[in-house]
Amino acid sequence: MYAVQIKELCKSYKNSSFTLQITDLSLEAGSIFGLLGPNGAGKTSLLQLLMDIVRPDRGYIEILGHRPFEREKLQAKISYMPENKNLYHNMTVKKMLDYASGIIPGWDNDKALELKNIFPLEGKKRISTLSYGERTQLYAILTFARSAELFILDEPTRGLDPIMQEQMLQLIKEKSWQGKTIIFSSHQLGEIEESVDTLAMLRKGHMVLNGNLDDLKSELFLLKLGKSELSAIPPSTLDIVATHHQHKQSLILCQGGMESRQKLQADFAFLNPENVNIKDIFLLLMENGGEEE
Amino acid sequence: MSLLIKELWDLRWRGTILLFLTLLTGYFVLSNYEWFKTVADIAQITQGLKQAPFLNQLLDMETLNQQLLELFNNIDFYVWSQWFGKNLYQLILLAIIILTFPLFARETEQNTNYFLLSNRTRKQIFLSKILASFFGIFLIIAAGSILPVVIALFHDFNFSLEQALMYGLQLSISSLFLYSVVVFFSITFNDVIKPVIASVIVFVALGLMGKISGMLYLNIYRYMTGVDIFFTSSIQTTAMIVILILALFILMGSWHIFKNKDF
Repeated sequence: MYAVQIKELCKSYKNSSFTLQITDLSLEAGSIFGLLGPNGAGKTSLLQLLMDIVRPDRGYIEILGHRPFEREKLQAKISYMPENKNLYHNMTVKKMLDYASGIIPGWDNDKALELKNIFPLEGKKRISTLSYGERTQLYAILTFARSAELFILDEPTRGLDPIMQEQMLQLIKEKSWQGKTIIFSSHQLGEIEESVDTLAMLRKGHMVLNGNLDDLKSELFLLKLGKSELSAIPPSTLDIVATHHQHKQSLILCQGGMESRQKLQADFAFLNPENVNIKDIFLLLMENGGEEE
Repeated sequence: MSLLIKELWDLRWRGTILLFLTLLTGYFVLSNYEWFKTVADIAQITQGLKQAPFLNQLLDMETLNQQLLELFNNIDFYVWSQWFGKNLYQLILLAIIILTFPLFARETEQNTNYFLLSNRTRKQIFLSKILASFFGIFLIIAAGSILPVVIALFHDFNFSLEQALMYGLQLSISSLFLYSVVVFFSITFNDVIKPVIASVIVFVALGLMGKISGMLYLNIYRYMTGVDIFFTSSIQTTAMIVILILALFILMGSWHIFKNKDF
């Protein structure tokens, strides 16, 4: 069962050349989905489209069996942490939590108290005096102190110190263990690698990679070749996903399972296919451009 | 705290100050009627009116003098000219702008609308905002309209409750029209300065259009001052229906924009 399905989605903005285009994306219910991409890639736009904060030019989005504009049916099922974590500057933390308890559907006071212990914020402090990290902590309380089936988190750890980042990731995992679906965007490649089941990478509004993290890791490998080694291999031998040429060495991201790797090594003894991590994939795809869907 | 209560909570200082200002101004204007009569120099006014050839053709000076004295001794004329027709409607214009311009624009400017939009439907947000702010404006209108009746209880004059209610209704409908204009700008613009500037321009333009011969009916301030109620003792029903329809039309347009807006 899918929590989110997107088909032929297109969103452009006035006074901007940026266009988000996603042909096909489906997210399994109960999974943790990571969204990666450089600044301006379209991560926030995609999450805002899911939340009906912006409307698509065309395309189909289904979220928990409903269209995003069916907010009445969805508002109790989705919890959202936006990229911009601004809240009412004139309110104190206590007042904000009191207000949130009145308007957030499915608010759980016990859970809020529990979260206040994890993210200890002074109740009397005005929101205008909170640092970005503290506002993120307050938003974390607002986001997780409620019952929801889907949690959409836009850079949830940005501005947090390493301890709080860890607490946030723990919360995300806890929600996942409870069977909730999590979508989160981040620039922290490490936390994505540690947490997600599936991921997508966006670049300039296009999805350049999408899939199960373990599958991607097993299907992709990295070759580090010198100029002479590179010229010794016929181009058709490799299923190249992305390349990056440095001064003396070329980094080549290739597609192929264990069999392909073994065959390559048998044919070209000097080759040493290496396992990839998200950082390798991200840097190669983003620097190189990658194939666009 | 519900969405509606929060909106009212947001308006608490601005609303209280405006209400206090209205009551204070009203108190000073209305309770100083006797003093006003003593300072008004009828002879000097008559002398000034002698310079108007049009008046001289219509009335002889003696009749004019007599009628002026009658008017100055008439509390109704004083209330309509000095309170309803002057200070109160100007305070209401101020209240409409001050209580309405940041309604939607501030949420957009400060990016707090993400919190609202992710937890409530656009319809709930729109309704709670416009109900709360118009409630604030209506409260000031009601207080200002009833004030002459209340102050009359403590002074040596009477003022008709019926007239006060008629004026309150006409002022409420006229204000709803101007209010809908400010709501429209608050939704359309993404910062809090532009709605204020645009509203002031429209408010001034409406006044100027009403001065053009044959377009007097466009002068919304004529209805806000209640001058017709003073002369005819009745509400301008047709004009009020037209204004109400226009106000609702603008509010529906604002809703349409808000419903489809990208934030």
